[in-house]
Amino acid sequence: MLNKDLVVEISKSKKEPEWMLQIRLRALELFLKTPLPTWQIPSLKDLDFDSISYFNPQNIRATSWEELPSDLKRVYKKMGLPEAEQRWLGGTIAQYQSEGIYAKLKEEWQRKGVIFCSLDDAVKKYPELVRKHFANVVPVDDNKFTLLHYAVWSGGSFLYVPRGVEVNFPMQTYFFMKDKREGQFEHTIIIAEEGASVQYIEGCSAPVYDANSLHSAVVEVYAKDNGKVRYSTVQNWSKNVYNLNTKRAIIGKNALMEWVGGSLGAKVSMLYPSTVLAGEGACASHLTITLASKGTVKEGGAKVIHLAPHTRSTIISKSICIGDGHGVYRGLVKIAKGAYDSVSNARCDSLLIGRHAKSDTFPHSDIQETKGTSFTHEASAGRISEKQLEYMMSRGIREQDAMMLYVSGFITPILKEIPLEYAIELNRFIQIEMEGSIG
Amino acid sequence: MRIGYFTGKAEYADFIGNELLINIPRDKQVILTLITLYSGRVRINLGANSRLLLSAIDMSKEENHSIDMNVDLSKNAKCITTFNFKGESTETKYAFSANTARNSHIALNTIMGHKGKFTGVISTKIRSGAHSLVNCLIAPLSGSTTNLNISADHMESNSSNSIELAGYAKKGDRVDFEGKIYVPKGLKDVETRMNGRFLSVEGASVHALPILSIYSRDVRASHGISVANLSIDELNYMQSRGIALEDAYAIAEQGLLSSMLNKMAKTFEL
Amino acid sequence: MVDGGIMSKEKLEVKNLDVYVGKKQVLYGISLEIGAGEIHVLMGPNGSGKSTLANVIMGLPGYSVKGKLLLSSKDFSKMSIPERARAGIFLAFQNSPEIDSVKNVNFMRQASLSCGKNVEASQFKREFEEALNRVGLNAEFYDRPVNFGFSGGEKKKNELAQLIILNPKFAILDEIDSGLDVDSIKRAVNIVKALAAEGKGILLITHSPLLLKYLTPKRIYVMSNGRIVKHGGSEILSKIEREGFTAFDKRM
Repeated sequence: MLNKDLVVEISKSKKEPEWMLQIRLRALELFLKTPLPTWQIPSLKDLDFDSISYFNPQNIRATSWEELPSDLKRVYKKMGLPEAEQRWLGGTIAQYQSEGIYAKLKEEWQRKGVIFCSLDDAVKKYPELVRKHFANVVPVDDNKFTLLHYAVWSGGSFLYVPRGVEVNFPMQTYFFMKDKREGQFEHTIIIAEEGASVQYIEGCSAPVYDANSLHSAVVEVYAKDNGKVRYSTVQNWSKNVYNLNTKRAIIGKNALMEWVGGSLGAKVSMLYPSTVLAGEGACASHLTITLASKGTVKEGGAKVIHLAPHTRSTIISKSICIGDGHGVYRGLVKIAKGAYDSVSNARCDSLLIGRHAKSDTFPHSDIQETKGTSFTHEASAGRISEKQLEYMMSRGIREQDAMMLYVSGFITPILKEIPLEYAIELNRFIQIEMEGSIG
Repeated sequence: MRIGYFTGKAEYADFIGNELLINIPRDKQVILTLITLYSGRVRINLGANSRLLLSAIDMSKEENHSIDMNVDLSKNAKCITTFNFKGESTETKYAFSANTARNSHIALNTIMGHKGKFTGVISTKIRSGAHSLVNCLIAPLSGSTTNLNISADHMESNSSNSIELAGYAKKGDRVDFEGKIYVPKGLKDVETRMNGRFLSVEGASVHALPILSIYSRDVRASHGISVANLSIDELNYMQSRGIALEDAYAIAEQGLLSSMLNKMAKTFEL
Repeated sequence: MVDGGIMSKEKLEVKNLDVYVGKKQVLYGISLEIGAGEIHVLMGPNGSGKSTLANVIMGLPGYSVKGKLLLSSKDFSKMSIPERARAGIFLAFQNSPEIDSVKNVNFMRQASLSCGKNVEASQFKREFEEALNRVGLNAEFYDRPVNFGFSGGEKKKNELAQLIILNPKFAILDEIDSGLDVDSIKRAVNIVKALAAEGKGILLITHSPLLLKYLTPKRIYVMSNGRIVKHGGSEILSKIEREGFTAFDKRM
């Protein structure tokens, strides 16, 4: 039951300070009063907020092979993932690193003053630092789902990189969350102080079963002046999941923010990572691959707001719709008054593979400053043409292989930015999904 | 109050109140010129295999001016309409809708040189073997507001569409554009595109939302939009070659204008 | 493994081919025979059915076919397009499509693997670079998306490079000279000669008698309105040069 008692219980069990409890309670109050959004394409009417389990210090995952849905078992088999592999059932990250390497890396980052721990821990260990950065990039009342999130959030990472520190190895969540992954209401805060740079990776390309069907995570990123943050994520939740996250970055002078994402799974997803270019010379790049497989509606996109002059943004979105999958791109590029000499380029392509596949593109642009600014947006939708397929086949390539070759090429610009181990699995997963539905 | 004047064969056009009815019988080829001065409606019916070249100029001085144009095409008919808005109305509303039949062609060239506020709603329904072409040149007088809503609805397979916009927004101008291309389920062999190029001058504001809704896969659909001002580099370069600032913009505008006018001229080759 | 070896006794035969597009007949009783190492030429005005014949041999869809298609006396009319390619048939398209998302090298790698050419990646890289060089395309064409933004002539050269890599037994070259300047035509001709010397059977489709100045074909076929109206040796070339194709078609 989603009520005040539940929220108080969550806060108490975490031994949170009073200010955090107040945020939760305020969020809950507003959430209960706010109606569901209606502008989106997927239907959210099946969401039953009272039946979701919000309070589970241990994640609810399948603990036996038998419990898994059969289509998931089929995919695991095809990907060659052994039944016994607990980490798949546990929903943790693709890679496993040896304790020794982990210890060494931990020692290095601690020496540099980097803080990397769960947000639950950070609230208690670094209260001022957290309080200063919590709920500022993504305000509590941003949308109905952030309201829910702020009421019941649990888990997530806190990554703080001090001034001038450049972290050369990617920070991955499994460093401290090998067994305790709580996907659904995670809150992550990443802070790169002036001149700092860091890469953060999370997610899983292989399909992960989660009995929890609502995910409403929030990610807040600060890249201060001359800071650099790259946030890479690949998600492949099972087909019962509604993935409705809010991710935003605010970046300063000459800072760089890179969002790289693969959205493969879930029944419904609404993901529009956004970057606010607050400082002069800031740059943002948004790269996404979205797979809308059978029976899914996947909304994705990007929001970029240029507030300062000399800023740059690039958006590349590639979506593949299989079966009757429905891919939707919703973008917003705003160049505010005063943001002169700013340039934004967006490109979104949809490949409709299934006979009943659908694609919608809604690219809003709001150009308030026209001095020296330039905005371009290009989009395309359609299938691989017969002529192209025949040509490839005339070179001896089977139809199925030709389609796969084309699709691989289609997603390559983004695939090459995704960490290798995820990329390989992502590619393999898409192949399997396509095999199941060519024609 | 009659909508205006027309020249051409009187037997094909008729005024009824403030409505102008144009009926082109089958197999006939007709050229008409129309000058619109007052609000009203123009209904055009084209018989099978007929051709109509309609050249219209709006020179209204009414405060609030509104023109409604409907074109109904029969099989194999072709209609090319050029509408040049040069009126002085405070507010101009233009609604254009075209319904194509098999293998018919509709081309609409609109030149918006308005003053004040202009609201245009253009929609075409495209059937089998039919082609729809909409070219819009937005070149208003300073301090204007342009609201444009253009949609192309593919009703049947083997249909094609092209929407081209070019315009410039000057200081104090506002341009609001929403475009929609819709291809429903179960269609094959559709080719459709929408392109918009806006050259913006300092002090303007542009909103654009080109929507692509593609629910069939045997489709080649694309759209592109660009809102750009001459960049600081481009301006510096031109000035370093002795071109004054105002002239640099004029050159860019001219380029935009002439390429759009060329496109419009091509529609006459149909 | 496809092998266009010199001592091969391979033959590509087309016997009494009638081809229909829907209800309309487009090819009437076409017969020809190409042996290993031979250069045959198919000529005729636009619309005479030359490309249709090429497409039908390659197995492209949209046609109903009656008659015989034999490769070394075995009927290949039921084979799918990729199967025909693997059996050793190659078509250099008149208008090769652009595939903007696939790199030239990746496409060729996949194709050659599909055709059973299993060489190590670095060796393949070298071979492909050599092939590009041989046809007159510079190194940037290695990585560029297949045919995307290529000029007409560059597309033709790319087709030839593919031919070199895939090493088929029989190659149909549809208007390989269009878009090429004189030097490039000479280069293409030399490649065609070399391929024939290697034992490949070539069917050269063209409507320009100029190309044949540099080649000595074994047989020339003239097509008109879907029929072969004349065939013979190079003696008929001079007649074509003087009188054009009308010399052979009383119906034109």
